[in-house]
Amino acid sequence: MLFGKNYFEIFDVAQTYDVDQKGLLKHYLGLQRKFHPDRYIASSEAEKRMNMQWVAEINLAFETLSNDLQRSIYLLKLNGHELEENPTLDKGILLKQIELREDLEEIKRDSNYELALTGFKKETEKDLESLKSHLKAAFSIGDSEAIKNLIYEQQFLTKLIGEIELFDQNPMEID
Amino acid sequence: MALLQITEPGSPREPHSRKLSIGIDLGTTNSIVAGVREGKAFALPDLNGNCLVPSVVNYSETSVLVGQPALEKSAHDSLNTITSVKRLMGRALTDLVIREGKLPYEFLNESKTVPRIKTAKGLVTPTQVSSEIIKTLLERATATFENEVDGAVITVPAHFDDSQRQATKDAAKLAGLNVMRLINEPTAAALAYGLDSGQEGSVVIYDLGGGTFDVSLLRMENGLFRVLATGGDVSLGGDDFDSAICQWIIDSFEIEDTISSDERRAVLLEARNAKEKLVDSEFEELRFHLQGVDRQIRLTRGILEGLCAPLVEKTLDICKQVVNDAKIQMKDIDNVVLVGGSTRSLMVRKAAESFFGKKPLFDIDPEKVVAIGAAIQADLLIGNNPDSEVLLLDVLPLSLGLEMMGGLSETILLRNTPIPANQTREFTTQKDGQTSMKIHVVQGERDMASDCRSLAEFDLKGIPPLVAGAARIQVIFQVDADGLLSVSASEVTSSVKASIEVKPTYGLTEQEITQMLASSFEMAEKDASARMLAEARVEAARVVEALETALEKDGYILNDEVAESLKLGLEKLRAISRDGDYREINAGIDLLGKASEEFAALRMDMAINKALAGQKITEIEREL
Repeated sequence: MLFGKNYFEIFDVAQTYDVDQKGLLKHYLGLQRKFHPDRYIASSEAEKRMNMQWVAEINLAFETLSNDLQRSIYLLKLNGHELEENPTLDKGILLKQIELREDLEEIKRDSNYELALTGFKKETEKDLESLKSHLKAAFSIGDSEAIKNLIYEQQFLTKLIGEIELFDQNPMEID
Repeated sequence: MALLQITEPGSPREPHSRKLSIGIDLGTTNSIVAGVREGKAFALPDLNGNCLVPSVVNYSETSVLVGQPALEKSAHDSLNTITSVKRLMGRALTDLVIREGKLPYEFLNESKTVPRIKTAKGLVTPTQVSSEIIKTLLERATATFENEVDGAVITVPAHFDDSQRQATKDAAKLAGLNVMRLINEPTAAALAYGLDSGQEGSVVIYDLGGGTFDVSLLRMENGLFRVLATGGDVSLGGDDFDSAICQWIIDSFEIEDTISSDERRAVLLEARNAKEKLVDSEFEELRFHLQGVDRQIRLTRGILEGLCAPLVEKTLDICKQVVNDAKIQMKDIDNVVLVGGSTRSLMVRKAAESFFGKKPLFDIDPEKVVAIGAAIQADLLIGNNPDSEVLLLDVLPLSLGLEMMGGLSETILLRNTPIPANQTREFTTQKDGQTSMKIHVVQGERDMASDCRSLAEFDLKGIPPLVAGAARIQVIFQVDADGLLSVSASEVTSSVKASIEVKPTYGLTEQEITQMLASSFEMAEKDASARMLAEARVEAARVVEALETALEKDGYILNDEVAESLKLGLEKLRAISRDGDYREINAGIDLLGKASEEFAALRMDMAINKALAGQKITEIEREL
């Protein structure tokens, strides 16, 4: 924690999972207007260096809080917990993940993949969205085990969407 | 007159004394310098009214020609005439051969990092060639405004990597120009266009120049220009259209194996001419005198479009990725702006229109808009408009990472992260007793480090010998507002800290630049040191002024002892700056900088707390 402020404090928003994104953006842009290095062109080198550290911190804080996955990991950490490197997942969740992965592989093999891929992406995005309300609930009661399991799911689905997009952009290069 | 003028950090002390600043668009094919007069930004013309300076430099034993006169030498003195030098900036020779194919110059073979071109005037690096173009633009500005230029903004393709940016900055330094900021070409265009038209919302800037392609998606509101995502290709542009046409001509005549380098250049120039004419006409008859034979060929618009289609298609693929990265829907894009000389082509316009489903705008001259945007930004940065609300927020164009075991690249900073950016990662040792670790910094989107651009490589030494996995190696990536990276690494469990700053592998070293400055062709040793002295004095004056303003405003937070010692330091630097040589002055600047670090930190803290308290007050006001 640089400058003695956590990311929520930097933007003066409540330290909850369902952070007010509009307020976040507004405060982020307000801070940029004040502190962007362009406003410090005439300052001393020492102040420029300091300023750059601070603005980089503002940027990182904004990126973290405006991203659903990064925000949950960060908030978990603020609550004093960390994710495990190789977690043991619930069997049901594990099976569902294997299934989803197989579904994607099948779509990829189809020469007319486009429609199915779009549908699959929409479904995945819906699943990801619904995790948010579960996370909000788990964070509000402070159930760290539940939070962790939800984040593992969130990680998986986020990665899956990344793969969908990658394939959509370069269908040839993947195979 | 106010007795005591209190100013915010970053704003000028005397708003009435205007400083002269310029914006430079250093293009692959043409370069432009723009300035601001009476609040209006414009491209500076030569005596004949031409704003475009061909980015061509010709070296002969006795002279260096830049621009149109150099271009005229191009077809019959191709070895000594450097064109499209932008494509060579910040690249290694081996890298160039792979990317650009056969180049029409003679290179010094043993140059492993920075390529050195053999010319009639001796060996030159791309940075030196580029600095000749900057000098010419600078002379034009000095002549137009009848004044010395205080500072400049130079534009670079958004997709320039770290070494290309550094090379551009070095070129300006060689030309004796103070660069306040490098900004991305599409961002500069958005600034000029946005301020001119007053449009707000989400805007795509499609920028196809002579040698580079960039596309940026920005959000514009209330003077704020925020880049959401950017994509591009630094070796894709109008030049490639020209080469495709040139190759088609050579293939049609079946002279590939016998054509000379001068003749190839002549065909290329004719190909470009024909391409430009085909914007208005349906076909062109091209006539050549090659290898003693008169030849003729007809180039129709249909053939041209066929030759260019794969290139245009490539730009659209990149557009798709950018829209995706920006996480917005196609329907939410309010406008598409075309920038760059190559968007004059009808085919490009049609392709952009059908892809985005919107009629693209090109109200401002697509060739001048980037330079004009740079001039507006330069005028802001130098402090001529302290009340302006305009602010550019840009992003990192290409992901930055480290090579891991097994040659995979691990991303540390993802592309499209807002800059300036900081990221810290921790690694550990693989073997018992390991005392050094190789740090290889790469840039690019590919999984394998070897497929990415290698930026720097160094060994972190002095790690205390511990069991495998016990050491904690902290690597810090820092990207500044110019998009330039520095990397440092240290071991954190022990009190032994090894740390190193990185300069790009393919850049010139600080020493080389100083040497080049000193031995610059037309500059005698005496002039060089005189200039360095002048530069050191200017810098010292700047440091003194910045610290004085800060002390005036916030000096009360320091205890008397510290305040006194800073004031003493100020006086010392003033004295050295009067009587010392440039080395002594620079040492004095460093010393005072170090002494004032604590003060700078205190002020930053204060400003942050003030701003955060301000947020709360506005909140309350809003709720009332």
